[in-house]
Amino acid sequence: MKKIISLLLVVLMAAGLLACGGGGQNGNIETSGTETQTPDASASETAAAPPDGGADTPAVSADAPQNVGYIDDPVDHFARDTYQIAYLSPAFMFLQQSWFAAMQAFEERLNFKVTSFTGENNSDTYLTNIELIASQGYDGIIMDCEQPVAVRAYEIIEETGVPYIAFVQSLLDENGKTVCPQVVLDQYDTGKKTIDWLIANYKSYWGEIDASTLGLIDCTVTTSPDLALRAVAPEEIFKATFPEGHYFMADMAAAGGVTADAAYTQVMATVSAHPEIEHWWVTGSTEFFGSGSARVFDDLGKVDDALVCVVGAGANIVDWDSMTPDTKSSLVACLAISDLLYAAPAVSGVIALIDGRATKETLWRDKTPADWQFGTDYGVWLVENDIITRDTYKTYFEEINAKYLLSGGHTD
Amino acid sequence: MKRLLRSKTVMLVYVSAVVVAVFFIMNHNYLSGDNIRGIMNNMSLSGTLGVGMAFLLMGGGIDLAAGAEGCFGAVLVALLMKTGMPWPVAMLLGLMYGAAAGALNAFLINGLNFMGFIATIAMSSVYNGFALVLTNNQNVAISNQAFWRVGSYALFGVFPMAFVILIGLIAVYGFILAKTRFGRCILLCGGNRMAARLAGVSPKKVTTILYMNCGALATLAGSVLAARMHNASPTAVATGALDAITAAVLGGVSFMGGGGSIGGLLIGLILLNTFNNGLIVVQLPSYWQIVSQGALLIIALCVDFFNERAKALALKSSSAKRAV
Repeated sequence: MKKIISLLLVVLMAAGLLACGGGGQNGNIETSGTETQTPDASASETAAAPPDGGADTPAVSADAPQNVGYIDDPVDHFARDTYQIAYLSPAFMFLQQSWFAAMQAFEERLNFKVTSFTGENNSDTYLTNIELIASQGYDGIIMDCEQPVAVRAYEIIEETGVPYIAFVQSLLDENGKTVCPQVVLDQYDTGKKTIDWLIANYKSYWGEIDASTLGLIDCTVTTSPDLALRAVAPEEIFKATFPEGHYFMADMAAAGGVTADAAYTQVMATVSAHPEIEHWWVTGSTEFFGSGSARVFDDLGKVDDALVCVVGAGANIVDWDSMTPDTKSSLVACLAISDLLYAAPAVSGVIALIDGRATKETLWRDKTPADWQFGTDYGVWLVENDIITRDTYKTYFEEINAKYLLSGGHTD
Repeated sequence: MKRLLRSKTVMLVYVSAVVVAVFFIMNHNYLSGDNIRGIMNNMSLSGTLGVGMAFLLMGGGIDLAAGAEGCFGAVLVALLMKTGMPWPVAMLLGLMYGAAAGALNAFLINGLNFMGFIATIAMSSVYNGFALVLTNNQNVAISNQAFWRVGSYALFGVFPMAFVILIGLIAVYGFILAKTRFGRCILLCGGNRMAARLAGVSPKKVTTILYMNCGALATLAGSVLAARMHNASPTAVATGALDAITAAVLGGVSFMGGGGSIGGLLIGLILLNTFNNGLIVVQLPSYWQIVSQGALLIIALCVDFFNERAKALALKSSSAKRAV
């Protein structure tokens, strides 16, 4: 029996090691593996820690445009030592791994090395990691911080003096105001883009229709504040544009969460209960709701009577990839957000702060929306996103990859 | 006849009929062909998982990893098909994986004496993790249109293929449980392991078969869902095991083992799915839907409790009369 247990443990350990080392494809870029650290595991990192103190201030050509903190910042990143940057996230799931891999994709071009630290879904671990990162001499931090620990995280990181920016989530003080530059997504705007696209394009599919025969199913998860925000604009704009139309909210909180099957269940029941509605639109807070909804219209033979446009691309691209050119689908468009578009400003911005060529008060101030809900005292970089269709998605990602990875790299 | 009319299964039929009637009055489209088809599709996932789970519960086991096994199995089948493998072969290999996953559960529980509850929760995490590792959290596309039909073809234009598979399973497993020696062994092992052993039945052997069966059916459920969705998602079937257990318990399968029927499971599935669907059709606010779903199970358990108590009291009073 002992031998069997030992064998089983060895197999499990080997599988665990394989899993840890597994890189693979992340969105549209190649990953080169991951290095996640927790306080316990990071002691060995000390030896590899960068030297204390700032590196030499890099040279900037006098006649170059001053795109400080942008990916096309003309500064010579190789006139200094390699910066050591920490990416600190509350957990290190696949989304964070994708962002981390996207950051790594810029390492050679911008002369830095990024290491990931995770809070392991534990506030204390997260806060301890901030001190740990500072003690190990990292030059800068990209912080993905959840709101419940934001105030304390801000106090700690200010004490350390390490340059930092907020990433994915705004770092807010107790009054709900931003306290540093940030790279975030405008959640409300993502939903707005999907409904705007449907309004702008539906006539090319159906021609003129009677608005009273039109229904919108707005798929969301109200228990997730960020995802819920994505469903606000579709409701507001649809009701304002088509007052005689029929609006339905499909909340996946009651149907099994963020899965295509949950969307299938909700959308199928809603469509079946309203045979008087001849034309359907579906908007959704995540990509999974797109493919789940599309299957409903496939099953009901209503592919031509429905248009689906949701936030998020991954699952929908998989769907489009599986179709032959003559396959009909109601999944016509989605909002794509490349991981590279998150990573590029994050690493460029924190490098500008480390260089000393920008301060947290000056970085990206020109990009801050005048009406940004969390205040305008610091730079806000809203991550770009675009609606893509079955006809344009391949070109879109090719262009992003070409723009951010293949051009402008350092050459000796 | 009177006894049959008072049986738990028939009670559940009454409750289901009331549920359907109430929702039909609130929205006449509740019984439209399209909506019934949607209900049948939903039933097929929890039902296919539920058949394996019900057998396991009756035999005294539990597999909280069934959803994760089904998810990983579906991912495996999709990846195998991606290599160009014909879908029946990929399915067969997937089912074999499911049986192996079940055998591993059985080894942990029977061989190493781990608690079933804990062991299968742990294995659930392992399978979920492997599904994410294998796919990098990306859905695996299925472009084989013949396989799509497994999930979306409608027999006579009415009955979804997934539902037909479920009915077939219910017929076969119902027969096994009611008419075969193995079926009686399952109930004996679940009801009293010691008595089973004394009767020459090996509870370990029986539960190993049940765990393997549960794993294989979980993979079947996951694969049929993947066929319907045209892709295998590493996060699908997340609540599968819980839904299956809920339907089984609702249908009268004893959580402690030793009791239940496949007919009861079917009624439990109908009640659960018509109820959940009805809540959406009448547009009950989502948070109240969550409350209602829990309340339904509590009500069903209370009905069962009072029914059993009434039976026990009746038995006691008749014994007392006989003694007098």
